[in-house]
Amino acid sequence: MPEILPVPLPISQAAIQTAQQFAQQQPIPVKAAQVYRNTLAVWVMNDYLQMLGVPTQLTASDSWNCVLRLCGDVADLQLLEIGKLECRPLLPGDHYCWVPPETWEDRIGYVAIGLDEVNAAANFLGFLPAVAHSEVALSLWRSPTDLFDHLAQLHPASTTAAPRMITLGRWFQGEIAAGWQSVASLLRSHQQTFAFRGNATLAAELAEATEFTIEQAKFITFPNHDSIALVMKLALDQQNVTHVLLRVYPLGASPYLTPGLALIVLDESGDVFLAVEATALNDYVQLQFSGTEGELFQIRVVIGADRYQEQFMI
Amino acid sequence: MTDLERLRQLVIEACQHSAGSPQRQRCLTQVIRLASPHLWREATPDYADALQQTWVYFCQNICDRGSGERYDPDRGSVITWLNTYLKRRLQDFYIARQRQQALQAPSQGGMDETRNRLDLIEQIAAAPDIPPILEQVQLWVEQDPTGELCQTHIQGRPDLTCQVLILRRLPPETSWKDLAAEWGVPIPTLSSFYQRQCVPRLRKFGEQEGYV
Repeated sequence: MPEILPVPLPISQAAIQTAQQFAQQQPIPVKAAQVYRNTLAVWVMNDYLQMLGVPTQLTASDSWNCVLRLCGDVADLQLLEIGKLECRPLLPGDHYCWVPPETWEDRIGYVAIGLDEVNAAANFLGFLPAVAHSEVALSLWRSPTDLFDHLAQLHPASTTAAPRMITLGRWFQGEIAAGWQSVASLLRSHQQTFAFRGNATLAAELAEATEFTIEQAKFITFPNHDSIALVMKLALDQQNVTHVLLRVYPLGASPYLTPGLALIVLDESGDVFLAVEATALNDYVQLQFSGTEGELFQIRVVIGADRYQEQFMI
Repeated sequence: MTDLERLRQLVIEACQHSAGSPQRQRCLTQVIRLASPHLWREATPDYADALQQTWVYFCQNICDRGSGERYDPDRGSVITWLNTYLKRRLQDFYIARQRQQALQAPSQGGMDETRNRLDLIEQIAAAPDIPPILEQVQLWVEQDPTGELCQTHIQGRPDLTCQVLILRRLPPETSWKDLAAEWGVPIPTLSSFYQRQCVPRLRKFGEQEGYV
C-alpha cells in the first residue's frame, strides 16, 4: 500500500478560543474534552476547504449547534449544497479513529484530523466516503486528496441540465432580458406593495457614482425566506472585456440579509468560481469578475433549501 | 527529482486547471504537503495564525492576481515566496503585540498563552458555571409538552421511545454498546433511530429556545 502523506494545517488562535468556549458549555470534563477536540477538527477543515474554494456553512453544522453538540459526539462541517462532512479528531499516538454511531448516517464523507494541541498544528490524515464502524484503523483511510473528486461528483451542478440562457452582449444594445429592470423601477414597483426596510440600502445604490454603463435588477422571491434584489452592473472596456459586478440586497423586513445566504458564480463546467456568504451584519453582499464574449457563467443564490439560479453568456 | 523541481511542476499543473476544480485543489494540497517542511518555523504564539494567512494568500495568488501580486516563478521558488510572506505576517503580529503590551500591564507575556494550552482541559474541568443547556434539555424531554417524544418509538419496541433514548444519551451518557446489550437491539438500529427521530426534534427545540 502506498504511504499516505498527511496535509499539515495550522490551528489558529480563533479556533482554540472557540473550542474553549464550546467546551466550557459542557457539564462534565470528559464531554468538554470531546467538544474541544471536535471543534478544533471542524475549524481547521473549514479553514482548509474555504481557502481551496469549497464553500462551507460552518454555522449551519450540527457541531455548531449547542443543543446537538451536547446530545451527540458530532464533528460535522456543512458544505454548501453538498451535505455534512464529518471531521473526526485524533490525538498523537492514536492508531484508530473513533467514528461514533450517531455520525454513521446523513454524512457525505469522513475525514481524520490529527491534533497536536501543544504545537497548534493539525494533520489532515485521510478520507473515507462512508463509515459504519466505531473504530477505523488509520491504515484503512484513503489519501486526503481523494476528497476533492468525491466532492466534485456530489456537487448538484455536475448533474443538472442547462436551463435557458441570457446573453449579456444584447444588454449593451438595449435588449434587456425579461424579469430584469432598472433599480429605480424595481424600487417604484415594490415600494407601495410591501413595507420594505431593506429598501434603504438598495435606494442608496441609486446615488452611488459608478463607471458601469448597465445597471439592472431582479426581484427574487423565495418560498421560505425574505425576498431579495439581485443587481447586476456591466461595463465593457476598450479591450472588449466585460466587467460584471453582482450585488444582493435584502427586501424583507430586516435591513440585513439572512445570515448564511450565499451568492455564487459558477463557471462553464458548473464549478464554483466565486462565492460569498452573508453574515448577520451584511446589508448587501457582492462579487466582481470579468470575462470575454461567449464565456458562460451561472449565478446562484442559496438560502437554506431555497435557491435561485440563472445562466448567462457574456 | 528535488522537492523544488517537484513543487515547480505542481504549481504549473495547478494553474492549468480552473479555480475550485478538484484537479487544482489536489495540486495545491500537494504543494502544501511538500512545501511545509521547508517553511520558516518559530515557537511564537502567533505562528499558526501567520501560517494560516500565508496559505490563504498562497491559494489566492498562486495562479491569478488575487489579494496581492500573482506569484512569478521566474523571481524565485514557491518556498522563498511563501517564507517572505510568512515572515512579514509574523512581524506584523510581533508589532501588534508590542503595541498591545505597551498599553497593558508589563507582566503579561505572550509565551504564557502557549503554556496555558497544555493544562486547558484542567481549566475547563474547573469552570465554575453549571451549564444551563443540559438542564433545559432534560426538563423538556422529561415533560414532553407535545407528547411526541413518548409516542415515537423504535418499530416493534414501544418501550424504546425518543424520550428514553435521549435521556440515556445526555452526558454522562450510556455508551451505544451498553444500550445495545441492555435492550437487545443492534447499535445501528439505535443510532439510526436517534439520528432520524431524536436529532430533528432536538434541533427544533434548540431553535424554539433561541439557542442556535
